[in-house]
Amino acid sequence: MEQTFTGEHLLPGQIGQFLLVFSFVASLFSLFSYLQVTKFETSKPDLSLSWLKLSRMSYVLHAFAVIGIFITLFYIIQNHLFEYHYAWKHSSIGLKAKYLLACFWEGSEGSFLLWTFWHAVLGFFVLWRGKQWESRVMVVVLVVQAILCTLQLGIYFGDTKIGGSAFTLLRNEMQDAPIFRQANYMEFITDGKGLNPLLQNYWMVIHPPVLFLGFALTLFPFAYGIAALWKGEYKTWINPALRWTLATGAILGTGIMMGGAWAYESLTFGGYWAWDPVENASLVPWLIVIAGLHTLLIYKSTGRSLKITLIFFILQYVLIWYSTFLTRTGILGDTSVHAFTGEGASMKWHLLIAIFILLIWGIALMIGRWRKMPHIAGEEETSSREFWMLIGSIAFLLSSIQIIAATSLPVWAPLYKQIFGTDIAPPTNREAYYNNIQVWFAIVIALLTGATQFLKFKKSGNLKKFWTVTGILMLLSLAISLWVINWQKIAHVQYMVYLCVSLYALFGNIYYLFTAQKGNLKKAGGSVTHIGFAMMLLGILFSSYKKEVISKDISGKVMNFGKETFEENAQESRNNVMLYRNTALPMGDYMVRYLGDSTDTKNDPPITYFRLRFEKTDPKTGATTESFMLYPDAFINAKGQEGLSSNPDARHYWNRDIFVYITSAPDPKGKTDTSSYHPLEVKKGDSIYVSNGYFVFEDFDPNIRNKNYTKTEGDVPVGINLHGYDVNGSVGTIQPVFFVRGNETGTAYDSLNALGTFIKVDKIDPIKETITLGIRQRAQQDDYIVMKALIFPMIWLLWLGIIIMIVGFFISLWARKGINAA
Amino acid sequence: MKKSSIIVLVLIAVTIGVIVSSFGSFSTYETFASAAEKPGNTFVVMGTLDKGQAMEYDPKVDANKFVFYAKDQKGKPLRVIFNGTKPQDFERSEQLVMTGFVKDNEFHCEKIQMKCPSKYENDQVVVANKPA
Repeated sequence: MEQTFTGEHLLPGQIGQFLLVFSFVASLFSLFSYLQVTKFETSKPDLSLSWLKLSRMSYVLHAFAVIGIFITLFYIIQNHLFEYHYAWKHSSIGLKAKYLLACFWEGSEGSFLLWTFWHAVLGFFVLWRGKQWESRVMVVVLVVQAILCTLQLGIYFGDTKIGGSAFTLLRNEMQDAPIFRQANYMEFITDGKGLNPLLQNYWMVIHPPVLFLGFALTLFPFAYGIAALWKGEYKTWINPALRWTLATGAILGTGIMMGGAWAYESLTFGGYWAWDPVENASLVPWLIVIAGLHTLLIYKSTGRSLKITLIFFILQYVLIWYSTFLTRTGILGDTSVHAFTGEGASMKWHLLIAIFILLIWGIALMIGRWRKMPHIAGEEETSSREFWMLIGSIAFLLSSIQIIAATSLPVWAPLYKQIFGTDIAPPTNREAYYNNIQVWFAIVIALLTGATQFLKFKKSGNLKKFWTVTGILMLLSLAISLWVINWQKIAHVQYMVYLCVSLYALFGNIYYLFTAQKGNLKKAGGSVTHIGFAMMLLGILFSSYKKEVISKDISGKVMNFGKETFEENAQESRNNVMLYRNTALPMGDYMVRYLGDSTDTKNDPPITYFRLRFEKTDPKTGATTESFMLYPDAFINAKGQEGLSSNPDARHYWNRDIFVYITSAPDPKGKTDTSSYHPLEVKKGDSIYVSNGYFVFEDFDPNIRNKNYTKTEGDVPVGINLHGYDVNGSVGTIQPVFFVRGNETGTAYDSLNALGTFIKVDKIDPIKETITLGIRQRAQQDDYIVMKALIFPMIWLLWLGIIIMIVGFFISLWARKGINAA
Repeated sequence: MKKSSIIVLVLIAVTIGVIVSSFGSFSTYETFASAAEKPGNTFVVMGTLDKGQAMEYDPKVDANKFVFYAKDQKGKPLRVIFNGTKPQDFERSEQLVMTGFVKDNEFHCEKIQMKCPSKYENDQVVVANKPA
């Protein structure tokens, strides 16, 4: 017999699932129609035109269906319809409204939907201004949209499930659970599992949409490349392709930067970039886009480098899908920290087929058109701009190959084992591994960035001026480098060279901006981008090379980490420092004092703030020259987890950032039951003194707010309002509860973390109008934190550099907005 | 041959050289026994937390020392010393990926990556204190 259920809201899911299928069918129909448009383009223009109307109409239907899916899923999450697996898994009732969007794209289905959504929106630009390129570009767009739709369908063909739908019901997802045999199961599912507290962060709200917009934009350089090959016309596509490539570089770059900023703020990787596979997977396509951008400029100016441009555009898009494959299918296994593991194991073949289709399409067209593509006989001058731009693009390509080859280790490790018999693992020091290789690519690219602008396209003629300018700028960079090397104590040769060429790139482009371009903003896009790039390179060096841990534990033993000297071992092993409450330890230039903690129980899950005071004193006079508070926080034992997940707090200076975070704290469960309560009889208005402050007994209160008290039928409870103060003033109120239940009395304690005090009510004497409280203070030896503090110098240079770089992309885009419409 | 082709070929050759020589930096997956054969060398050992044995973390004694027992894939238990704080939700880990070396019949661990049950899906990684 068919089981029936009550309390479910099935309509939104049915609408969503219908729209999924509808958008898929509409994309196929629009694809078919656009194919007809191209087919009759020259032979029957009238027929072609009527097909065009049909394709546009069906595209609009497709796009609106996608937007409809987006709204439906949001409706389900916003209304907490936990009968849907997606809402149950990613959201909860207590979640703040601003994080509703964050849980929308926390899961695989939601993020695919976001990606599809951006394609749908961007497609309208092609409809609007695509002109003769519209039909072919839209065929490519719609093929990709159809593939993305199949990834979200969640339909069974026999035993094979195609894609994963965001509208699957919880009871279908977990059929074996006994609860789903009850018709009224919804009455028991009152809350969802919620958003991972680590992801409850404003970056989670803005980073994914920007990154996926970047992902979506990469489709268009690819689509224009395919369309040009298909049409066999290589002239009028340049300007629209250039604009899409600039937009891709800007937005994808912004998305990657936001990921870095998020990592920096939360310190989950210990910095802004850790060469994590997931970071690499989005960086590599961006590098190829930048390479393609430069070769496209060569082609535009000289007619050379067409083939390599098309190869870059195809490659970057295949890499976008390859990175999706790496990050979603769980194949990275134990080499990455990021999410999505296991969830998409079933998508493995699905994504491989998608990659295969895109790759074959590109390769087949390239081979088919290879001989017919226009090319210029003879070779470029060694002193020409295009020659060195091409070398730079190749450097980008090779840098990408190294990154993606190492990142793909889990993909090729099984093959390696078959051949060589060893179980190869990622390098034990991943950052050093990538840094030591990539620094050389950075050096080559920085050098070319500085020098190439002074060369001319096609022929450079007299090089005397070029060498004079280069020589002067190089000498200047060298002089400053020597000073910085001495000042910052840079000890590695590769970083000395890196410093020098980065400065050279910076000066070269500033000089070019003001001499050759005379500060003309419309032409300045490239120079501005390059200036930002050089600043970014310098920021990377200063912030990473001189990163310093100031919380060093010098009290205990030193562990042997195989280092040669005692100092090296000491440095490796002692970065966490323990601080008892109201004690201070020196860290760097500061005395750091732990003043106590307080927990915000209204937050879901409850969050604990730790108060730390940093003080700097003048060594001569002993006077305090600087004093500030930092409040790192942590979720302690959140949602059934053991231990704490920590968020740092930071103080920003113009030349450095100080970060502090909690790495361990005593388990609050252990704190409550250890020592005994001391009785104290008080009257209303009395003060109750504890070791580090006092409470004022303000009033009796029939409105119970204490969460430790659970009301039972027939209870008569009364709350005791106590207001806590320390030397600085009010630190919060608590409300222990006394209650009468039948013939018995009872009490529910309340605690104030700021004073480390637990209070219960043992007796109420109505005649004397007194109450007897039980007071317990957390033992001093149980009141401590373990923390870490770090200094990142000159990090602003990195962020400013990236922002200037992205602004440069937008300047170029804006300068080209009018040229020969898309 | 074109000059650009020559430079490109040189660059490609250098890159291949760099990539191949960087293979030396790659580590290998080992068991405790095979890691012990080369003491002092750093390897990656996959294993599970031995829940039968007590874990020690007492910041009052040493805030940078967490000791536990782990079993490698062959089931052999070994005492592991991690020079950091006790990671969140460590008790629930289903699998540990530990980077470190064997010395005096103890595994000195620099980095632990944990696989947790799908409660939050995310794997978690903890890195011991290392100089920048």
